[in-house]
Amino acid sequence: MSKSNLNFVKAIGTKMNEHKFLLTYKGDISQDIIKGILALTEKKLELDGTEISLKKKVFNIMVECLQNISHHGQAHENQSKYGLIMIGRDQNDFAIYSSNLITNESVNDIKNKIETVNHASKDELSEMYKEILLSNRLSEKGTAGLGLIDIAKKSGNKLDYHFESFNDNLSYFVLRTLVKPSN
Amino acid sequence: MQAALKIASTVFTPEINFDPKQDIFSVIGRSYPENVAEFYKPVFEWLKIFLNESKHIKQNIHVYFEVDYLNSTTLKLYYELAKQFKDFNEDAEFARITWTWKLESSMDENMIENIKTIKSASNFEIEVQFEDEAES
Repeated sequence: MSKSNLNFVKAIGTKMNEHKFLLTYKGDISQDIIKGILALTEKKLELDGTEISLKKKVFNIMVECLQNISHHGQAHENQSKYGLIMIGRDQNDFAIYSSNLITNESVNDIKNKIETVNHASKDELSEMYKEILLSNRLSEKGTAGLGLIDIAKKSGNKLDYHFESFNDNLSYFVLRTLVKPSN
Repeated sequence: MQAALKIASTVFTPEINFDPKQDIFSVIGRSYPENVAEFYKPVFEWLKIFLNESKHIKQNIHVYFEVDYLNSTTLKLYYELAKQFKDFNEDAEFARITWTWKLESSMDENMIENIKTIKSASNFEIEVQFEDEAES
């Protein structure tokens, strides 16, 4: 095999450097894989000497993102459930990217949820959180619907999102969550 | 008296030790199981029986939590737990509940707020201790 066939490896490495990704994963999202990704996340943050409350925020957002994919992510035909998760770091600022397939019908619902949390103040987010704790029952999937509010609360920044059509039934959903050290 | 409830910890779930004879009601570890309701079902079932039995016996209950990492659905269930303790606290003739929660960091605003939210479902204090503060 000639050298040039492996050029893409260096290209991927360069891209990862450019975007300062300290962790990237694309593929099946199962319980065992989540366990592995979280262990790797924790180790990387620890080795980087990340301050403890920042580390916990990034870690917890990773948990919510991965479980969102596991609970709501869709599989294309008979392929396994697709998920993409990346952590970027610029100095002490973190960006957590997650992407998965969702049904076209849920696009508007997710969009509305994100817009609602993006327009809420810190206190309003806490109120929304409490309201769900008080009222909502758990869904069939055993979820409470707190995920996005929790992510927004921990981030303290607006959530960036993007939808892109995949086929007649499915769309890509991309979410970016920023985490910055509090002063 | 009801037999103790012991559940060993895993990467995703905390160790649970509810032992009335030893006066231990502890939850130690992390809590982000895939299906939170399923994991905590035996805990709630056990507690329901125990609290019912305990209403007429003089036993104070000291709950101890050392949980720093939890997912949002776990928080929902801990809120339910606080509500059960509150009902007990109102009905019990002699017994009282105290709750201590130990956190790694006093800088963890998010967990401090979460505990406050859980406390709002109860009618008693949750004392928060921090590992990074010198213990007196």
